[in-house]
Amino acid sequence: MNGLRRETIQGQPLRVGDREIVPEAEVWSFQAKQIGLTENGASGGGAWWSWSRPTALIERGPGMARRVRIVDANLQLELILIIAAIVLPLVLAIVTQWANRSSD
Amino acid sequence: MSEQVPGNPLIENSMNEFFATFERAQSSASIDNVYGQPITYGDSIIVPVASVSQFFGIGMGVGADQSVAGPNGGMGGGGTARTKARPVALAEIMPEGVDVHPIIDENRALTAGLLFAAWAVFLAARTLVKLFK
Repeated sequence: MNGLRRETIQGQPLRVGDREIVPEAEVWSFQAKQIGLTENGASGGGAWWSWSRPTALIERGPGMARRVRIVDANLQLELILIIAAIVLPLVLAIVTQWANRSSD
Repeated sequence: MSEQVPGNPLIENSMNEFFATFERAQSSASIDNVYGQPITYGDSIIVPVASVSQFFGIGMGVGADQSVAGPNGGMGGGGTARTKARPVALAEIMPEGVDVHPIIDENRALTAGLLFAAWAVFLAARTLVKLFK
């Protein structure tokens, strides 16, 4: 089916003593495909993209369950810088306006 | 996805393969790509963790001129694919609990930081020019 899809998947549990560790990941995928059929021929094309990222390790033991988040430090840093790069010109524009009004 | 493609077997086979390619791609996005094989290290088990992105694009055309006697079909196609894995963390499973050690790609962080610094310097210079013009 064409379109964007997001799903959370869990892997085989890893047993350590009386505990089990379940890996969890999030998969984003997008596909677009199309075919054209005529009596004597056909043509088609399409593209598919997916991004799988780890989200957490779920630790289960006797009487306990814990979710250990997996943080993508690089991605977080890049997102912070992108947001800062968007916000910075707005802040500077406000500062410039304020400075111009003050000097008038 | 199974779609009925009537007519010429060449066209039918090509179309079936076309749809099968997408099904195979969808099933290849598995959790096994994200979590690597566990490595035993002393009392601990180390699991490498990665972020994986995959892409492919294909295009094809099949023609079968039935106005001419005999087999007179043509087929062409092309495609591109890319898979990229980036280490994210090492998960350490110890007898006393689970610990996750993030992996920082210093080159990537430095590149992002330099790009941001260049952007900030440009904006600051432009603002100063506006203020003192």
